[in-house]
Amino acid sequence: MALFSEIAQKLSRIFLGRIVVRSLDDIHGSKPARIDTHFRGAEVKPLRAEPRVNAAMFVRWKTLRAKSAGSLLCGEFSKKLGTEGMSFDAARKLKVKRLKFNLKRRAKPRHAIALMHRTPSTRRNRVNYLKKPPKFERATLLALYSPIFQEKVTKSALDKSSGNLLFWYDNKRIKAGEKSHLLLLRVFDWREPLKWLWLSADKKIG
Amino acid sequence: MNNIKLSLGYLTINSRENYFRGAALVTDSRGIPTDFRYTEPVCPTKLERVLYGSALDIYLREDIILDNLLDAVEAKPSMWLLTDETLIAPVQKISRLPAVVIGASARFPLEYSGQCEPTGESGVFMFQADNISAPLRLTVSPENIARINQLTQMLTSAAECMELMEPFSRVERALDTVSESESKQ
Repeated sequence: MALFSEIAQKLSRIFLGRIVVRSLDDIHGSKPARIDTHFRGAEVKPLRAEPRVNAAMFVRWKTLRAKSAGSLLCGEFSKKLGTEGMSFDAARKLKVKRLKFNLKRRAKPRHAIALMHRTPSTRRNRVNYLKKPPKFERATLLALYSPIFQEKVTKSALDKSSGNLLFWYDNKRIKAGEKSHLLLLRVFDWREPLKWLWLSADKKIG
Repeated sequence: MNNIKLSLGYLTINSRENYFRGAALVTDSRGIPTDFRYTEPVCPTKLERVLYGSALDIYLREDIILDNLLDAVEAKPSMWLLTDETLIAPVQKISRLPAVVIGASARFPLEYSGQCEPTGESGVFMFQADNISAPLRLTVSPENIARINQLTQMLTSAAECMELMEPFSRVERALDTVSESESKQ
């Protein structure tokens, strides 16, 4: 039908010079014109990433106190996970160590007078400094140790390698007595070739 | 001069490879010890060595060891005898007592005991402590040059009853004993 109507319209336009005029009602069934706006629909997406919990092997569940990064694991969500009062330490703070230099404390002085009392005193051989060495009959002077408080000496020893005399004083003895020279003599014609001799220091030698 | 009241202080600071240790011995005029103190060895860490740099040595010796040691000594001596010239000024400043650096010499003995001769160097003297030994070399700070006679009188008096340098060797032996016992622990 539509085809015949269209052919009739074309013939009448060619031979009769007529055109068809239609009312608005004729286009009632057609679709209304589509009007697009320049506004585009915005898709809203959250900037925050999806909540995600990574397991860490070094964290023992419910034994480690940790803090959350933001509020990911706080509130209802943490309740669901069973992590109330604790959370995963995602944002660990850098610790700044403070160094304490306690050198002063390390140089603590100790009192050790007893140790010093046990340490022997020494005397060097001074025979080389005698300007006029004393003369002895049938003996020569090998060493001279001075000054020594004879009465206070409790023990003595000769260090043969250095030639020094080591001796210990009795520090409890208050009275020191007179100071003396101790001489070591080499004696000729004697059963003991060496002889020790005490002389008062008041007696000048050399 | 009264010998009994005279006392001498011997002070030494050992700086070995990795530690510093100080010791102070006070003796009476006969050389008998009346007080002896030593510090525990101070071993600066690598970090401390880096941070303090060249100031570490001075800081440890003066501010740490000397300060602690001199504060701890109860028997105050008439003077401090040292072997290290760099310690004169800090020892005098902290203890407020005269400090003298004493050392042996290989020179021929001077004429008489108590004789003190200036050398060409400022504050340095040759001193004959007794008549049967080599003279000693004494170094004093500029403010004590005028007091040198007073100081040598005290030393001459002490030298009648003791060897002036001998207590230093005693301190060394005592510190060796301490180090040995510490290394065994």
